[in-house]
Amino acid sequence: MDDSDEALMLRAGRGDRTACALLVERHLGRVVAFAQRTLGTRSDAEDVAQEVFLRVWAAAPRWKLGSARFSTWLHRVAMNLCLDRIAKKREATTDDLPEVADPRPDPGAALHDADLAGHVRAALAALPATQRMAITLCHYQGLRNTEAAEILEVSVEALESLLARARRALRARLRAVAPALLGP
Amino acid sequence: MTLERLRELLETYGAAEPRWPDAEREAARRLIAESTAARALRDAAADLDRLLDALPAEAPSAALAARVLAAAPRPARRWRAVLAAAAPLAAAAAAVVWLAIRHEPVAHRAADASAALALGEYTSPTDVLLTPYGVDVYATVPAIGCADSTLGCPKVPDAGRPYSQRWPTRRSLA
Repeated sequence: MDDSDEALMLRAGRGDRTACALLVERHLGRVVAFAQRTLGTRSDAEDVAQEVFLRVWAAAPRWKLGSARFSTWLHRVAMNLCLDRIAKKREATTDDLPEVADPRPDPGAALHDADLAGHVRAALAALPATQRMAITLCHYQGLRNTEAAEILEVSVEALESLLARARRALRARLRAVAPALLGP
Repeated sequence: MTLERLRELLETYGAAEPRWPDAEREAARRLIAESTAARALRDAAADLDRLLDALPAEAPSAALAARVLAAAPRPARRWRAVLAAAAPLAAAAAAVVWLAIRHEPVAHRAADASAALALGEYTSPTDVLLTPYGVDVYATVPAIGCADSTLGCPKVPDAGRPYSQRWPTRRSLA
C-alpha cells in the first residue's frame, strides 16, 4: 500500500483514522518545531500546530494526487499562520520581535546546554521574520533549497541571500556569548 | 569551484553536504579534499551548525496530539450509507403507491357519476310525499275502496287550493 504523505491525505479525506494518525505521527513534531523556532514560545507553537492540522483535515477530502507535495503545502500553511501571529503581536506590542528572553552574555562563563539553547533561541528571535523562516526551513527542517524557496515564494537566489544574511547575523550574535565555540 | 564560491556556499547552507545544492556538491567536496583553506572554511561553518543545533526540538505533547487527532475526519457512518442507498427505493415505492391511489378514484368517480345520473331519474314515493307542491298526493290516491269511509279514505277538502289553505287552522275552527 502506498504510504506516501499524499496517499495518506487521500485516505484521510475518506475518514481513514489510521492514515490520520500516521500523518500526525510524521508531521506534528515538525510543525511544532518549525512554529516554536519561528515564534519563540511553546504555547504559540502548539496553537499554530493545532490550527495547521485543522487546515489539513479540512483540505483532505479535496486533496488530489499530483496537486502539490504535502510537505511543501504543510510548511506553507504553517509559515502563513506564523506570519499572521507575528503580525498580530506586532500590532499589539509595536515590536516586530517575538518575546524571547535573551540570556545575559557572559563570554567568560562556561555555557551549559540549556544556556546555549537560550542564546540560540534569542539569536533566532532577533532575526527578521523572513530570514528566520529561511534558516528554519533549510537548517532545522532539512528542506531542499528549491522547496524552501517555493514555500517562501521567492527565487532560489533570493533564498540564498536570506540564508547568508541570517547565518552572518547569527554568527555575530553567538560569537559574543560563545567566542570559544566560533572561530574568528 | 573556486575558494570564494565555496565560502559563499558554506555561509549560505552550512557545512552539511546534504544541504548543498545538488549541482555543486561534488565540486565542493573535491575542493575541500584538496585544499587546507577550504577545510578551514568548512570547519568554521560546522562550528556555527553545532551551535544552532544546540536548540533542541521538543516533542509535541500527548495532549496536543490527542486534540489534533480528535478533530481528524471520521468515516461515514454505516447507517447513513444504508439510508443513502434506501432513499431512492423508498421514493420509488412512494411514487407507485401515489399513482395507484390517484388512479383508483377516477374509476370510482365514473361509477358514482353514472349512479347519480340514474338516481336523478328515479322518483321515490317518499320524494313525492315530501314534495309540498307539484304532484298532488291526494289526487294520486287510488279511488278503489275509498268509497268505504271505514277504510280511511281521505277527505279532500278544497282540492285545487294551496295546501296551506285546505285545512282549517285552530283559529278558524275556534
